[in-house]
Amino acid sequence: MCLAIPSKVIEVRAGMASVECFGARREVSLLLLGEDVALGDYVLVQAGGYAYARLDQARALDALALIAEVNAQLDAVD
Amino acid sequence: MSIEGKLVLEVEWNGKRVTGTCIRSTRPAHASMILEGRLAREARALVPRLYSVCGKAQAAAASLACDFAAGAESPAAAWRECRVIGECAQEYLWRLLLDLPPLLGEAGQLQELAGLHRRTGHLNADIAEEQYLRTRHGAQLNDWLRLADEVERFVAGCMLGMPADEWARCSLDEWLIEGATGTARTIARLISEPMCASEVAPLPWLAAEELKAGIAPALAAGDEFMRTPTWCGRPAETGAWARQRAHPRLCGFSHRGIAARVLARLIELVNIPARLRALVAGEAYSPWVRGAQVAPGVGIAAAETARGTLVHCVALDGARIARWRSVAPTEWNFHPAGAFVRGLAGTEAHSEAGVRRAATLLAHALDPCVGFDVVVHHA
Repeated sequence: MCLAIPSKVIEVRAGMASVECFGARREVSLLLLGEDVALGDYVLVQAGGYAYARLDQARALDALALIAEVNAQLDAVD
Repeated sequence: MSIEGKLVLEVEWNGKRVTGTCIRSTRPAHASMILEGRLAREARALVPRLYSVCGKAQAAAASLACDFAAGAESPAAAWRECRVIGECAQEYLWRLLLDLPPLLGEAGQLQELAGLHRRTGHLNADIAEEQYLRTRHGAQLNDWLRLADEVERFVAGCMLGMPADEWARCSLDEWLIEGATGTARTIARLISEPMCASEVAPLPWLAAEELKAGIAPALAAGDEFMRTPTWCGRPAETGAWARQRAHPRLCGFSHRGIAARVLARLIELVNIPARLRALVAGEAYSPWVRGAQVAPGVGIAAAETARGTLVHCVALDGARIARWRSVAPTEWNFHPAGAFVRGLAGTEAHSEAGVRRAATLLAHALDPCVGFDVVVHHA
């Protein structure tokens, strides 16, 4: 189903950020966000590579734990 | 492999036309099963955290399915509906202004969209339903009216080039030819692309009875339905085109494939402000979020999203989730014999780049909620 993985901000520069989730790094645009982001923040990224929401850490970590559980479930089936 | 999954769209091409298409999906269609065994109130709160794409629609369908399963009152109906519609508007704006134009040589409208986000992002801010019911904080009626006004102004100014009611009356052909806005030029360019129409029937509106008598038994019969759903034994297409296919603009639109799907999104986006105002005014409406109790302890609910109809079906064992099954729009449209496969079948293309372009545009028109790769095989 429709998982969007919260990505952790590891670098910020003008209008762009490097984010990481489950070891994968990518570059995203911050121009849709109506707020500043800081290192360590978690964001959701839409399909075109634009961050559109900042998540509080508790919610992001909850989501990541759930997604890791789904991943473990898939690995068990494989 | 990306954890959220991906679609690999494998297209066979004989040098002249597409001769076959196969879809490999690594989407975790059975992910909802991790909710089983949890307390229902915990599970329904986890759904939007797990399924962040269209998270508000996910939360709405999940909560309503749980409420029906428990035979409980569902007090947040109007609030859920407004959130789902607001989310749909956001998704349409992203597709129409960010993702699609660059594929067609048009500039996206990031700055304009960023401005709208800054003005409206807080109006449909994420808040858990339980928190809303407890505190009544979060978007209130005036917020939805403000969102309606902002979206209406934005769409008129940046996308239509005229007020919505004037656009509804104008000649669509002339609007496209004149190309005064990026949206008009984008749709006009799509008309010159391969049509990629299919004979796959639209998924009908699944009201409570259809959910209860049609979808719930299919989900109970086996887990495969989550990955390859059918209606009346056949694949079906879901999304804005399926919902709007009887709209006069679409009935008279000669390009039935990719361009029609995109035009359908614009039609729905143009109508969203009126829908929000009608909701706030308490007018009768056909809800985008609805459901039914299938049996004591079993509830099913659907929420319309930008990508189509999303369904959650929940069975309770006391206060805990005994069984949780879900079907997302992507599984309808990217069914092995569904709208994507049938739409691409026989498409003429005289280069591999042409095949790739047609497949990419059709995939965008059907809008999976994950990334996709197009792989061309020479037949």
